[in-house]
Amino acid sequence: MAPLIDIIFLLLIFFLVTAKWRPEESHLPLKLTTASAQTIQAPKAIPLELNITTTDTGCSVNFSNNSVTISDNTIDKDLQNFLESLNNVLEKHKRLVNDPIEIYCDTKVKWLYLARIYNDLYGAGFTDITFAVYEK
Amino acid sequence: MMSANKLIISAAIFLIALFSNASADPDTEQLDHLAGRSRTVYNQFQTETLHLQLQMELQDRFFTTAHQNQMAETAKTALSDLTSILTDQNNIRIFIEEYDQTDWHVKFGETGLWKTSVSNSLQTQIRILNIKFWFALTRSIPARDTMLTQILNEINDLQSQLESHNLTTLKLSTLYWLNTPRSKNQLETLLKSLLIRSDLPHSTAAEIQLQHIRFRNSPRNLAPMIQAITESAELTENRRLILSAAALSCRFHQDKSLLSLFETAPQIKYPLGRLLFDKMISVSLNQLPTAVTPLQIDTAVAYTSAYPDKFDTLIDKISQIPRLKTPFLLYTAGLKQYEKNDQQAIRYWIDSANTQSRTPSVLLKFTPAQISERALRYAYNLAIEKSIKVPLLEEAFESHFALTGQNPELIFLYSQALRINSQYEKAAKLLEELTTRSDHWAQKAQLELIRLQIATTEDHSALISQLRRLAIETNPDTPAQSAIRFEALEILFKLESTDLTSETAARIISLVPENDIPPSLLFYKIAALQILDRPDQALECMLIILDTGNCDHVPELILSLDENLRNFELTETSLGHSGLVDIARFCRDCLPSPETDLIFAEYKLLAVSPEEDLSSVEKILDEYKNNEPPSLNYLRTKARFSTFQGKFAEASGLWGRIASIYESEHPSNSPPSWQWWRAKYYELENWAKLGPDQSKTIPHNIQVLQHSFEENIPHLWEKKLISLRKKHN
Repeated sequence: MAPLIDIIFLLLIFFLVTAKWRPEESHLPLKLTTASAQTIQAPKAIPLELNITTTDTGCSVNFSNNSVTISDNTIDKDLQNFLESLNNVLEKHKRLVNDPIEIYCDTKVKWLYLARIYNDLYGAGFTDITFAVYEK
Repeated sequence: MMSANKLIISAAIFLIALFSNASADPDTEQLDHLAGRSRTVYNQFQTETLHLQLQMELQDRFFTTAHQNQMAETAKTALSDLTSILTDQNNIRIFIEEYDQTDWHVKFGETGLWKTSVSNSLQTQIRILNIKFWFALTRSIPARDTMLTQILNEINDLQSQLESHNLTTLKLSTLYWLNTPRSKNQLETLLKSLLIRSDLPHSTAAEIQLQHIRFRNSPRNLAPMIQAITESAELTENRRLILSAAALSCRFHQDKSLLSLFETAPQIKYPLGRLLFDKMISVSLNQLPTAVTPLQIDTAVAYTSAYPDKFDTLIDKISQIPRLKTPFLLYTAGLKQYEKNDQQAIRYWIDSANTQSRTPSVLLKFTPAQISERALRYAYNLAIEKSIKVPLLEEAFESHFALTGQNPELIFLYSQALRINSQYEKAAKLLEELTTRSDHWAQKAQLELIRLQIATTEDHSALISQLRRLAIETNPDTPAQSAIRFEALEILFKLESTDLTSETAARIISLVPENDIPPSLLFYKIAALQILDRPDQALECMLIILDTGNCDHVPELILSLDENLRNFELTETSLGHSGLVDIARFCRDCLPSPETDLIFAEYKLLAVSPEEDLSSVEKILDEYKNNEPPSLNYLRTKARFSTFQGKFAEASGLWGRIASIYESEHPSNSPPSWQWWRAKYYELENWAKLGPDQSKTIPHNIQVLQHSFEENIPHLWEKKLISLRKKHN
């Protein structure tokens, strides 16, 4: 018959050995913006609106009376055409690359097209690209 | 001590004797009290049984057993009361007559108490006999004859004591109703003797004459008798006599006599109407056509019009015999029915008008045309409210036209009702008939035809030419044609304003009259002037409306003020500004609301000179600052106020917010509205005022705007944007 103190010590040693200590949390790689209600931003040039709608073979990008179709099979070539047309419009409107571009995208458009269009615009030097938010 | 007691006892005995003596002697007050009671009981009986007595005079019978029982019960009660009163009166009379003291002459002779007591007793006896007579009539033969014989004996007894005209007429009635071989001869003899007497009072003589006509069954004499009654001032005061005469006229169906009695004593219509109503209800349907005349029906209608239940009973019965429906009955039925069943009421009035034209009701004071017009008016209102009632309106119009002939105004109204109920073909047909006329109704019909075509066709270009021609052809100096002209212009301007361009605006201005323009047209002129960028003239027109002081036009004025803001910045004169502030203030006073407050504040800001106090504007802005979401009017006024205060960054932000609101409201593929351009311009202009560092981006922004929209920029704002760009290049 073992004394009670031995049993207590045995249990204490058991918990100490089996315990798993929580590791220290690393910092999240996220930088939240700070809101400032008082700051009034300088007026920007009116944004150029790009409307992306779905088609049977891919999608269509419409902007300022121009329309460019992007198909699955000829996606690279079509994107090239899109950038050329866009440059023409920018030139006509006297827009600069840092002027805003606003993308209106149909919900049925495949993510692939939107990502490629965005990447190409970014690659062409446009930095102020925003997605319009629809109200449901 | 002893003598004092004796004195007290003697005095007490004297007083007791004095009072007991006084209470035993009858006095005037006691007699008058009994006479008064006797009179009251009798008058009450007469009032309660008047319509029952008239039943007997009209038809020699009570209309129903209930009426008969009612007479018996009332008579019994009255007889019981009067008998008790007579006993008291007789006790007094006997007391006086048996009084054997020496002072009899002083107490009862000189005071007239004895004579009064005898006279009062006799009067009560006559009253009792009268009531007994009516009670006897409720009994059947032979009990009735027994009672009447007894009454006759009592009359004879009384007549031996006094001469009473009341007893004479009662005797006549008793003999008439007494069913014995001798009674008829007695009646004849008595009548003959009475008719030749010239000493009788007028009313008694007239009563005897009426009884004579009734007993002899000779209606031939009724008309001259009634003429005599109506011509005598004394007789026309006797309501009971007039009622007897009226009942006799009804008995012999003498409507002309009855009518002359109505004219003399209109108040008899009510009791007679009650009598005739009871009669009509009591007789069977087969008997009804011969039992009453149209005038009698109308008299019953006049009585029942105050009792809805009785009227319903009457009309239910008469409706079963259509030829008995008099115009008055139908008209009253319409009035009663209108709240419950409006269509039925209108039908009643149509029928009433038609019947009135054939067999007029004398008691109905309306002409067929007036009744039919009433039917038409109600039918028209119903047709405007509910299209299901159009057939009824057609019926009412057809009936009215049949009675009064065609009337252009009514035809026009008819067509309007049809148009409102989408019966375009019928309406057009009626209007085309009117266009052949030579008066102004032809033009009015043309205008209405155009209205019809507007409702039924899509292409209005041909109608616009027609309206223009109509407006030119109408003579402005004739009131009727001038009204048509204004109406035509209003429709024309409304059509032109659906697509208000410089061209249509110029056309509107060329057609608007020079003077006395109604406000409804003036607003079209203002809109046209605003389109043509002539704000000063638009302001002049708005000031004309302001001068009228009429708040009815405030909603249109608010719209004009709002539209005026489009090119307000071009109006540089302070006079123009202050005029607009006056209009804005007028709108605010007439129609206090956040919208009018902010319009006033905005115009005040636009008209203000730098040194002016703007606390009123600040107060208005403070009042609405917490409203979420803020209205465009608020944001615009706040933005202008910020500019005024030199807070250009805030003003620019507010105009930017206004622009984004307009942008979200307009369709993406259409050019922005002028309000967007205004907001955009002020956003940039305010930002440019912040200084050279901030304003350096402005030329590029304007350049992008110019090249993005090219020809779609409103002229005014393009000019302003170019000027701003040049300033900061």
